[in-house]
Amino acid sequence: MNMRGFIQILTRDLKVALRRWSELCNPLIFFLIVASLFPLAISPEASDLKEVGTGVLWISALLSSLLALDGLFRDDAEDGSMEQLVLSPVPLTIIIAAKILAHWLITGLPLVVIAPVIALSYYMPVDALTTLILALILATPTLSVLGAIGAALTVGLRRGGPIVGLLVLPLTGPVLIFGTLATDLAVQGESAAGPLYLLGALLALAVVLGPLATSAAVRVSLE
Amino acid sequence: MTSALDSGLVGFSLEVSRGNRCLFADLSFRLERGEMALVTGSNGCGKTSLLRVLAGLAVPDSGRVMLGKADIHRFLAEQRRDLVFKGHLNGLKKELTARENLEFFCRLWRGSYRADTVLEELQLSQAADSLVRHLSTGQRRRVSLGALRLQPATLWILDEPLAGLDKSGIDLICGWVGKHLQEGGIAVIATHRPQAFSGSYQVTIEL
Repeated sequence: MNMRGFIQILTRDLKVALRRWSELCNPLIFFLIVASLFPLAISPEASDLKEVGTGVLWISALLSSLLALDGLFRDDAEDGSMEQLVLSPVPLTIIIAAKILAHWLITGLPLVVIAPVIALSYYMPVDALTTLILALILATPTLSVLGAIGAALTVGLRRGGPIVGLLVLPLTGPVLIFGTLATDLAVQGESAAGPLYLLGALLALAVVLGPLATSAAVRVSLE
Repeated sequence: MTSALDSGLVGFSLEVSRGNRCLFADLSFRLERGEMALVTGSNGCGKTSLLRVLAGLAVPDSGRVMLGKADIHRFLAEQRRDLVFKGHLNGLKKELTARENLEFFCRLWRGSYRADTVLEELQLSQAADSLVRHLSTGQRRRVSLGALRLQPATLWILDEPLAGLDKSGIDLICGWVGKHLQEGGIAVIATHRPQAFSGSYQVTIEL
């Protein structure tokens, strides 16, 4: 029964997002632009790009995942949907989990799909791409969960934008460390299992505890 | 509707303050099934705050709200099916059509009423498939209140439900409230137009 509530909220959020597809593309375009600015600033030499590719990719992914966060709960809070959801017979944790999953499907998943293209333009070896995709699949949902906590805490403020970044970016350290480590190991042709496991562990932790923390934050913000 | 709710809605010496200002203190009341309370008073006297406390959205400084035998602030998710709150905000998604919005409420509350029937009652059949973004203020209000028919709740908490409605809209909502009370429901309504609800059995809480 809670599963049905989960699916209804997921489909509603996806439907709303798809009807605002111009906003949908923003984080993705941002990702592409940031990643293509680095060669202009550093050097277009293949050897240099190879050197910085991993870092550029992960930092751009991190920043663009922040971009879409502000609207995650703000829209619902402003039009009153959040009140209705909080009072609905579906537990708030389930609602929040559905909203985070929808957010990841709209902003995280496209990132995972487009990242290999960027990686290739930074001369990353083709063999390393599988690891990169795997690492991103494990890392981006964790980023969505962390971001959701920040978005929920700032939903009561009139303009949350920059504050969400200040709250969330320091917490993303471990994801960044293990993500880049996994990618670098793969680029050097070594096994990246260790950091991938750790990314998986972070994701498990985030999925279990994140919705609880986020729903507590939403409740406080709504009062 | 379950018999566990037979003891109605009870507020025990509620106290609510906003900032440093005390809005009201030691407010107690009891509503049996089939009864309605009209909350009246000037702007800023705490009508909305009282309603949000009754709905469990805000926590009072002291006191308790009981619906049936349960404290409303400790409601489990399933118990929340017994209450519906409509505030100043419509709670509709602008990107969805009127029908999609109503169907969402219907599914989430697992109501048995059909969204199309409600849209007909609201005289919105023609606008059913337009995005809420394209509806007028009054039409949005109608759609928002239409959800009342789809959420099978005993307790209705309405904050200024008549704001923005035309004559026929007001008659419609007052009719729904009357029917809800006849069926053993409870309603708490904040309004500046108490005369619109005359006829139904009522208690007035003046803040």
